[in-house]
Amino acid sequence: MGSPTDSTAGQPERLAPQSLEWIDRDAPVTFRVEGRAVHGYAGDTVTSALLASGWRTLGRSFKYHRPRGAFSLANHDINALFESRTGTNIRGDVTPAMDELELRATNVNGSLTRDRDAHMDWLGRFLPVGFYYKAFHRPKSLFPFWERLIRRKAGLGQVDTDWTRESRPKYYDFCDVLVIGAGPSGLQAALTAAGRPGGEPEGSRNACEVLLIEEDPCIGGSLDYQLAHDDRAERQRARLKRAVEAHPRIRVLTRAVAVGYYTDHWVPVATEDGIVKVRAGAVVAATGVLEQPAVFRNNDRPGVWLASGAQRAMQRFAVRPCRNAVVLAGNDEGYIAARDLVHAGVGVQAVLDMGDPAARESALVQQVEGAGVPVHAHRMIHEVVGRRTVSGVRVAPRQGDGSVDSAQAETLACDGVVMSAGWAPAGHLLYQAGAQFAYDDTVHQLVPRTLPRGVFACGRVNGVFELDQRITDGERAGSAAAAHAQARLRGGRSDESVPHDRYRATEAHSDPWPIASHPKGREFVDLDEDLQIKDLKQAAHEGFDNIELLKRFSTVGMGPSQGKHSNMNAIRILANWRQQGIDATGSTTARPFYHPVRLGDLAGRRFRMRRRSPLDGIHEQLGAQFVEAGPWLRPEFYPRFGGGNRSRAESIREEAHAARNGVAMIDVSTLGKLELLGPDAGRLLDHVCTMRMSTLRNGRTRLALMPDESGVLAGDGLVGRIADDHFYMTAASSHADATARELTQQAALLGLDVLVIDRGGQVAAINLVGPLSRKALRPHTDVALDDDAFPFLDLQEGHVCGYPARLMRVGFVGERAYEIHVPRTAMAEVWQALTASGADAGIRPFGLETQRLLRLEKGHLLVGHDTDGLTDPYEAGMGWAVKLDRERFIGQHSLRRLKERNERRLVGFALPPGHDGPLPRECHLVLDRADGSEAAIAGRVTSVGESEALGRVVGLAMVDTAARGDDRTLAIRVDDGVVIEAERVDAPFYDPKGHRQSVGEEEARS
Amino acid sequence: MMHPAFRADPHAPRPTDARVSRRTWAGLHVLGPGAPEWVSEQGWPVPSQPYTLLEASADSAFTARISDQEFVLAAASPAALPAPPASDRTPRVWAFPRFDAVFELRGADWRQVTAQVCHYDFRALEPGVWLPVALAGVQVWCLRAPHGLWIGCDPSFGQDLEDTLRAVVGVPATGQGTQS
Repeated sequence: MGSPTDSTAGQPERLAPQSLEWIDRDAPVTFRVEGRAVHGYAGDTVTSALLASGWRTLGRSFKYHRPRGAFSLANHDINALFESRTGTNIRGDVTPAMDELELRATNVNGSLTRDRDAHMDWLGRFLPVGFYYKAFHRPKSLFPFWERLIRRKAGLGQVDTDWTRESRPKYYDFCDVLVIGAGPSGLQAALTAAGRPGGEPEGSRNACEVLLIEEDPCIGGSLDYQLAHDDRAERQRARLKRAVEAHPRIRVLTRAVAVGYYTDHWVPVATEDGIVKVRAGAVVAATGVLEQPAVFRNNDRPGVWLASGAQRAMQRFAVRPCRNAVVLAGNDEGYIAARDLVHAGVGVQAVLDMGDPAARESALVQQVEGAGVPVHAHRMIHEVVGRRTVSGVRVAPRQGDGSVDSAQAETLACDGVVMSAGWAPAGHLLYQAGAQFAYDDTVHQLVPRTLPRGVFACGRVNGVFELDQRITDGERAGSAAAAHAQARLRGGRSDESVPHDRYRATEAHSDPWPIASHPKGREFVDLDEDLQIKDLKQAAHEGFDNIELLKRFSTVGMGPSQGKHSNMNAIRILANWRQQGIDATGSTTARPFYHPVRLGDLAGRRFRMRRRSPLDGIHEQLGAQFVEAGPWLRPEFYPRFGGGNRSRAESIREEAHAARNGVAMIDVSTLGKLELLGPDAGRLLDHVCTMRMSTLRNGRTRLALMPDESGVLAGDGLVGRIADDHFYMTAASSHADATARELTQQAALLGLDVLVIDRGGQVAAINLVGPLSRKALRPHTDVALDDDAFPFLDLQEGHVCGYPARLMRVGFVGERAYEIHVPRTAMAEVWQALTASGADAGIRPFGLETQRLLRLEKGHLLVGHDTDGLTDPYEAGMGWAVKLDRERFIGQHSLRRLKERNERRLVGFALPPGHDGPLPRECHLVLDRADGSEAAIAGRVTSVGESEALGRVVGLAMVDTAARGDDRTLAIRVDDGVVIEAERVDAPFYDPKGHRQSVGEEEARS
Repeated sequence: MMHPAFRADPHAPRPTDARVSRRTWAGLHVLGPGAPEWVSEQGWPVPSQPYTLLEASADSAFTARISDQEFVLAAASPAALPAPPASDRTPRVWAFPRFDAVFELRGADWRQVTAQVCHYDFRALEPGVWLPVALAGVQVWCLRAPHGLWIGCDPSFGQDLEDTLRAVVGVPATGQGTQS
């Protein structure tokens, strides 16, 4: 055995080419860390390139700023955490090395080798677990100081607040069977689920579309690093990879992490290109295991490796993890790691077996001993020696109960420690799916005890360790998943013929107590959070001795690694403290997403659809300024109408003037337009409205107020009757969809014979307003427009410009007005025709803001604008529209009670003519100033506008009836705290007797 | 040997060959207890099950059944549609024109496009099915076309939906359609 090193300059730890390496030696890359050039190859990660270049300290710990090095090389720890000018939390272990990268270590004050905060390590004794909760409370005056200090010292990097918005589209994907993890069991599960590549007969049990996802850039899993030099694995590796890559029904997604599991096999997968939301018929978790560290003093020193991490360094990146290693072995895998180290030319000083070598696979032990490596039984590392990196280990005999006899400790010189103490299942997704885990005393690992339907586990996460058994287990899971997925398609169920624990290991692959406490401490359980054995014991001592409480108080498992390397040992320590078993102690569930996901990925593509009127193009030509109104964009006013660029106030004034004195029109295509069809249509409306609609005569309209069961005004509209069994209802633009839903739902609940359809977008509408409106309309319609034939509040069907139309005489803005409804495709022509016929009368468009002013002058409220989520019709001054003495309707019972309460009231107010002080705005507060003391809030302004027609500012305010002010004035606090006095005025402010509704062209002319 | 993932991820989304185009379309929403009989009288096919459709004789024309008493008759132009029923007909039938914005998504990998805007598994959509579904945040109906998918929606959403679909397939928006 032995592997010569590469002679590449600047990469002294680079090994000669490895058979399965990921790097491309023909493609060198250079990037910079702390301003120093680092050389590597395409295929390297940041960490592997740094290691190849001889770097050992790659990061500093979160709390104590202790030096940290490569550990798992698999995203299971965050020792190597970097930031760039624009990026934070860059995980060196998995971030590809690329030219142009410029990185610095996160959480370093100075440089990696000279961190000015390294003294925090010596202050550790003053920072016990939970000190955040206990300190800094007194004196209170100093808290801001502590807060600033903590914020400066804590955290994981700096955010660039001058960031560039990034978002990546989300994708949906679908498959019959989703296999998570492309190690040997996952590969086999995918192959089995997909069936024979040549095709299966329709309906075959094994002919599923399979999606195989893998976190690493290539498939193979542990076959390619842990079993890289295993002769038995060679044949399986070639077979499995070749078959999967060639299979027409297997799609492979690499560099993809399943970050959560949701109901009905809904699995978000984080990829380089964003999140893929996968819906599967069945899920196979072949997620493997996470190697768990042994816990001993200074087990976090650069040079201390998880065995799998060292193997990844050697096999994937051809990097030598150290030059002289000591291997701590709690299982067969430790011997495999020792063998691989020897193969890579690393001097192995000894294998320290935590148990009895006779219990290991004899061939492995013989291979190691045959290479001249001494094997010591029942040994444990008591301490790593070396201040910055490993320079040796103190080794002590291990007692039967797992404790160490430190009195007999001896020192072994080395520059690296490779430990293989055991495993924990990567069962995050299984936990989230509802699987129950139990501790297996044979395997000494948590294993799935029960699995939810349609979710299957195989391989090492399922407690199956021997290679052939893992593949067989994958076959079992793949077959069961395919059967489940296909039975589901047929609407049936499948039963697993083989129990999921059939192939479970019969020998331990984890040491039950890989923990050696040291009187001087610094035995780290959680590297993310710098938590030591004493911290967990202290937390338990203080009463946080439940696993959930321990987690939250100590923060174990709450760092970026989410407990991947720490949870199992924390559970062991708590179980030991409580003198109980692992199952009784319990475990925690990592919530989705258990793996970090970029915010831009979560953002996804923006879907914020806007509805558009058929007149939008015309509005643009007319110089409209648009405003969002629910899902619509509507003209707010027309500052550039006819040329120029008028102010908002000027535009609104001109538009209002035209509507009051000539003719103007507004696009109201945004209204909801509901057809209610059938013999029970009237009954349905009676049930949802405060007034009876079934008594409406054909051809007439009536205001519709819709309360909810609590009596609150939920919506409003206008109901017109077309025929005995046909009503037409318009609903406020912002409430159109909700109105349609409510009517449909109530029709179903009551079992009424009525059909409800919403034609909101199919039908366009305009409101032609003003004393000259009839004159403008008359040339284009066959509907008789004389007031006798078409009185106020009538609805007529006929034609406009030759198109079928419905016309309604409505009074929302307080002038003669015709609401014209025509097919969407006809509206542009109708608009242009009216523009032409109204030209002599100075016709012009008006926008939403002008409409609001006109209706305010008339004292008409806007539901949702002048009302809030608690306003009832009585408060809104609409009690006249509530008829309580009739058959039951929605909100009737509540309204009976509300009628008597009368706690608030919508009132009108006006400012004196010529007022030149500050103006009230919507939501300004009304004050109770009766006794001259500090004012209390008595209400708020809901609408306000400058009325040219009235020559003053008018508004509406919702005011408490118990307010102590007089009946004549309102005190309104406007901007900058100025209080102004407004006169209370009864609404409507304009034309209170409704005379204007009948003013026509003759009167207007006079 | 370097893994291909570091050269160019072979599984990364590739430029799609899908194209989106707007269809001329006219519809008639027919409903009421007499609707099945009336549709049949007009010589249009009557699907037996809700959410299914049958092709009519005219080019691209079809009848979709929305519920027991509801149908959508569709054709390439309004002239191909029957005239609305008489208002005094019994049992009652009502008919209203529809001006849905209708798009055709075509190309070998049109599902690459729907995968970015809709949660529905379009592998399951078979010819002859009228599928109401939310797509890009809009309530739409979909049906399988010979070379892809038809998507129809309320015309007021047409422009934004078209812009979104074009953005997904990588074609700039036309800026047309405000008069749809």
